[in-house]
Amino acid sequence: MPRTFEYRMLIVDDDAVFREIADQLFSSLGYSVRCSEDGFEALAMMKEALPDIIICDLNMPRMSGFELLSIVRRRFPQIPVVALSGDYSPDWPVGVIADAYLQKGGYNSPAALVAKIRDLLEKSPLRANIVKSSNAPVWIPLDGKPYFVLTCVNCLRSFSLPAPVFKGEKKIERNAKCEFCENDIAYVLDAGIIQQVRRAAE
Amino acid sequence: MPPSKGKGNKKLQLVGSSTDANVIRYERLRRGNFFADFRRDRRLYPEVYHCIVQRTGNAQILVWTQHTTLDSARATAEEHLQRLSSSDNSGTTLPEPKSRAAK
Repeated sequence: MPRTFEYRMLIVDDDAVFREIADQLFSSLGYSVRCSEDGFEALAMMKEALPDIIICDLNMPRMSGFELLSIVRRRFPQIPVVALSGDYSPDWPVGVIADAYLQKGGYNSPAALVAKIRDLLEKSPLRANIVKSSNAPVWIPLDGKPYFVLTCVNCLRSFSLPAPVFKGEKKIERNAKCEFCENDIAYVLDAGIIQQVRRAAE
Repeated sequence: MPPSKGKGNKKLQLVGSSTDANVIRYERLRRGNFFADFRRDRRLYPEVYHCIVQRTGNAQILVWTQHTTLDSARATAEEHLQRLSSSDNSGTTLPEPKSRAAK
């Protein structure tokens, strides 16, 4: 049977009941759900696999939702996050960096939460690589400039590097260090593809 | 979990099969084809009581609310069970649940 696409969701909440119900709710809707009970555990899980969306409580022991969401926004700005809390007013709490805020107990139906998640996922870009590749994605500018853009597989941020000169090789395999997280990145440049892009740009 | 019956490979799983030792479960309320479960995590202070309303034999969560007291959770569950049950008996379509958060 072919594998179907599943959005990966990370639920971060110290309330075991919340995690359990949210897990069952979203799993039944076809999401691939992982749960963690605080920010530290969530970050450890994100090292293994990045989620497509995060639902996060604000008040948690060890590392709060405020801290976690701040880190997530800096390191993984493309991941939409929903902040949830029962301790604040329906207004957006000061200091919360999130794409949406919902007050716990402020909804009678899970429909509001589900609708918000669907809305955010529709607006966010589809993740670049469903199967994790050992090689980083390479982007070649269409304006013929002598550089290319590399996206770090660890922190997912992009930076540019000077384009190498091909001396008859069909492809070049190289390593670079991420400018942001200093992760070692392996990438492959295909001479044929680069030529095609450059010709198209001309 | 036993193999599910019915369409395709869909699994039927009702909320209420918690194995977490920190989760306290309270007496289930039933009305007609619907039931409400109440649970809380014993480690949390102040307490948060979750109320989940479902139709018997269906895994869909129809209502999910959180409360600071069990009495409040039960009162809300009674209201929803009454509404769902009477809609079910009259054969009318269920009204859309009110959602303050969606405003």
